[in-house]
Amino acid sequence: MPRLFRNMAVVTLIIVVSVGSLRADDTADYARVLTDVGPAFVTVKFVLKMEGQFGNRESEAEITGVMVDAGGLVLCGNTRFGSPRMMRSIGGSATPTDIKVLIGDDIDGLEAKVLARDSELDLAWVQIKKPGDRKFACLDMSKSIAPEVGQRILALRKMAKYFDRILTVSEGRLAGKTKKPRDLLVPTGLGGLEPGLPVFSASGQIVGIAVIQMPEDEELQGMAFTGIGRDISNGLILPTMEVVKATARAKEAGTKDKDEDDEDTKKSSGASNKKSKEMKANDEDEKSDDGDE
Amino acid sequence: MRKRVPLRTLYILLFLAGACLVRLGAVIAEPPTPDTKKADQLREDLRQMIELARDRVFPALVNIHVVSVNYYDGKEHKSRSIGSGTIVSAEGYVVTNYHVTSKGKKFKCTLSDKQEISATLIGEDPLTDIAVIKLNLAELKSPASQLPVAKFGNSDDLQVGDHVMAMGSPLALSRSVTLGIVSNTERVFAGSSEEDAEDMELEEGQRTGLFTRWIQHDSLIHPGNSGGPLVNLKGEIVGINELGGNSMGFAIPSNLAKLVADGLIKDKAITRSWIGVSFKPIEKTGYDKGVLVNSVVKAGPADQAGVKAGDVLLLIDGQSVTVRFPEEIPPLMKRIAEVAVGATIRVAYEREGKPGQAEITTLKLEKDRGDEASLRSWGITVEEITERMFRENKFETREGAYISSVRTGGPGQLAEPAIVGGDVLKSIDGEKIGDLHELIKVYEKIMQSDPLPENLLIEFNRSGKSHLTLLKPKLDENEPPPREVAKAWIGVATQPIIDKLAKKLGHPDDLGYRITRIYPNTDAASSPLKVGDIITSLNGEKLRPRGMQDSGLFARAVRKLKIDESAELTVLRDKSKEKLTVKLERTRLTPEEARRARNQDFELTVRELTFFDRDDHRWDETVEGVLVESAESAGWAGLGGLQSDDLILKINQHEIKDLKAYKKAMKAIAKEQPQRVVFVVLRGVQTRFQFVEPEWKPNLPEDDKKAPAN
Repeated sequence: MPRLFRNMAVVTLIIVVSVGSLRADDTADYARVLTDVGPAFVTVKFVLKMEGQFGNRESEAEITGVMVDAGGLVLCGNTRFGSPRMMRSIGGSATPTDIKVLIGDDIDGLEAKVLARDSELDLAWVQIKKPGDRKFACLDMSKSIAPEVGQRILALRKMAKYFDRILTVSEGRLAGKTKKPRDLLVPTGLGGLEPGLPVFSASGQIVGIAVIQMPEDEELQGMAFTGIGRDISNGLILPTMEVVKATARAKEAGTKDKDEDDEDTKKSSGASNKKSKEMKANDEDEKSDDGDE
Repeated sequence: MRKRVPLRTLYILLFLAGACLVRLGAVIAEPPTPDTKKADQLREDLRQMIELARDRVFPALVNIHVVSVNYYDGKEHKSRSIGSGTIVSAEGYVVTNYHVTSKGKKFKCTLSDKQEISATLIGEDPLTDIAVIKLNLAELKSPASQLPVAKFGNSDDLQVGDHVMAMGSPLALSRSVTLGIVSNTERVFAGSSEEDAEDMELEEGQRTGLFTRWIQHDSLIHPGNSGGPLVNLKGEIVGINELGGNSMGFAIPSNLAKLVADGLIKDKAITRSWIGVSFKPIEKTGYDKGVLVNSVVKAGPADQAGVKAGDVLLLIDGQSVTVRFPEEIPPLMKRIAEVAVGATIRVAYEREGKPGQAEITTLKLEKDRGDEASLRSWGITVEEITERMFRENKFETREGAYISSVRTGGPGQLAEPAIVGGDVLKSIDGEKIGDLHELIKVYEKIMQSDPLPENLLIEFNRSGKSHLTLLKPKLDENEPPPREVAKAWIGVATQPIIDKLAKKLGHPDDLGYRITRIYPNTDAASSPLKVGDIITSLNGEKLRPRGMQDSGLFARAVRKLKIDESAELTVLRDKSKEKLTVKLERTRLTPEEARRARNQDFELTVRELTFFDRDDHRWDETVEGVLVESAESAGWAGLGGLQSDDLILKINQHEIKDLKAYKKAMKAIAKEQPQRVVFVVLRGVQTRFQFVEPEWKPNLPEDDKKAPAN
């Protein structure tokens, strides 16, 4: 009996020690990720204007995004801005307006616009309109990691306005990988995985961005939709490299759209490099036309 | 109960009506019953009387199309409805129901000769549900011609069993007549334990049954008959149809209707006295004379004169009064209302067995519901605080404007604390708001300032508590939708060729994607690709779809490549394979990304034409214009017949090639303000001319600044 007790005591001690050390690791991991990347998390407020057969609707919304460029570029989930495909299916369209980015404890927010969206990847990029010389804390996506199935992963999320939007960490593991419709990581155990937000390894390196992946309409024929709801609602992770490439494309698209708009204005007003006063006046007319929009 | 017809219900009811017609056909087909000469004579006499009566009123019947504005969800909403009316004077005055015209902003009347002319509201009396509009006779084809006019008869002469005809536009079907008999000449909707006459409301918050004892009849009436005449066999108007259902109709007696209509034509409004009491019959009180004072309005004229609830009034101005039944209350209310405003009424009463007297100085009886307005840039709708609203909401004062609703996501809701429906707006930036009209003036002044103020300090009252908030005014601007990131694209549509299909086609080892369409005006169209080609590999990577779930695999693989580079496709054509090089172009703009323009005057939203719109409609590059995305059904464009998906080609003399041309044209038209604007549109494969008749408003940045005239 004494030996039995001694053995039990040893086993208990081992368990206590291992649990204790695991908790210490967790605390360090959680603290590190909060400290390292927490400041890059921002709140994006906007009003979604919906128009269509159902009439006109507006709703105020608030999501969490992550700053990915010190110049004020914020990455968000695209679906929350009104998925074009979903809106088309109900005979309408949605436009996010009055976009504000709230950083830290700010309650007023900085005016912003959607620079570009990638509905296929479920990503949207919001650009602060007048960043000035300010350099914003941002997520460094160059330090990424490709985790193995079974590894611990961490996700950050901001709580609601009522709870002062504090950042929380949730933990899960990588459950699998899929190649359809593209390379995606499948998480498990991550409570409250929010589309558009990064997922990290336990050591704080970025793994990818949480996304919602919807098959195209024709891909849902032939019972392909069976069980897909569960897979979609659990959330998927788009690997960081894909996000980096997509962000580069978004920046380029944002610049191109601006150039095209400028070019349109020049063409329609017939302006040359040396503008006459009359041509300048034409330009101003065009600007006021746009204001009517 | 209301008789205005929402047009969308018409088709359902028409279907039911169709079923009735079928049954009627079966009845007619049955052999006639034997009749006598006397019966024939009676029938002939009745037919002649009906014809005579019909011909005296029918030509004066009008079908009234109303464009109404309702205020809810923090903004104004236009709608269309139809009612009936009768021309009662050569000057073009038309009598109808208040609930037909209320909230009406525009009236179009169809006359018996099918001419359609506009009308102007002259006056409304909510308490009797009577309104008068005036036809704009200058619009008649022959303005000098004599208008057909119907005459009022004496409704007091009506007896139960008399034949009457209901005329109007049931279910929006114009110029209809039904025949029936009078079932009751003094119907009131009161007397139950739950309801008194004053509780009856045809519109929320507006009492209707104070002075009326309706003529109940069984001439079939439906929604759309509202405001139409009830006619006796002499061809006189004996009532104005107001309510109906279950084969029963209820009409306002002509004597009351005529009195009110004459008053409206003369003074545009009916002025009545109010003493602030409600009555109940003495039937269950143990008294055999007098009328029970059911309630007294606090601080009202009767209250100030010392009259209390529970008193039994015996004399009014020296004349005895006895109300045994609910039917006797409306004449008593009418008698008091007809006393001059500010006059003194002497009453004698009995209180707990003791006699008493009081002198009540009357006040003007106000309407229950006040004017309304939408302050679009603040995302709120507001309402005038009437005496009744003040009393029933237990407000401390009548000062301020009542917030009736708030737009989701609008400035009012975004303010912290948010403004909500039921609040009373008291001041703006320290400036007191006395009433709705003062608020509108302040709103206009603020919204015309440049730049707009960053924030407005709003003081409002909620449940007796005084709050402050900051509201940020915002013009209703149209922001462009976000653009998709451009990716690589080959201008073809495909279907997957899966295992079984490949076997059947005789090439079991070659799965892939069969080209089902090559989009015109793309690089693919000028490439060697053909419809029917099966793409088996992309840049050397075999394509092997396993089912329909892989339909998008090929396009996705292309999107991973780079724009402007080339892709090598292995194509199976006529059982032989060849390698083709195709240039990758940018994905085209989708309809969701297209730029839009919303015109507030016409309530019309259009967008630029995209590649996929052209493909859907099979329009080539020579077709130019802008697509209608939405036209509010009761907006000027909607009323002019513009519909979603119309392609606008021309507006008046302006060719519309794109969104820029459209905006220029609309700007020019707004400046010119023509009476009629012709939109040439392409709908399906046909062009159509749509004639839009806008009602030009003051040239202000906002079009919601005027509260309804009243």
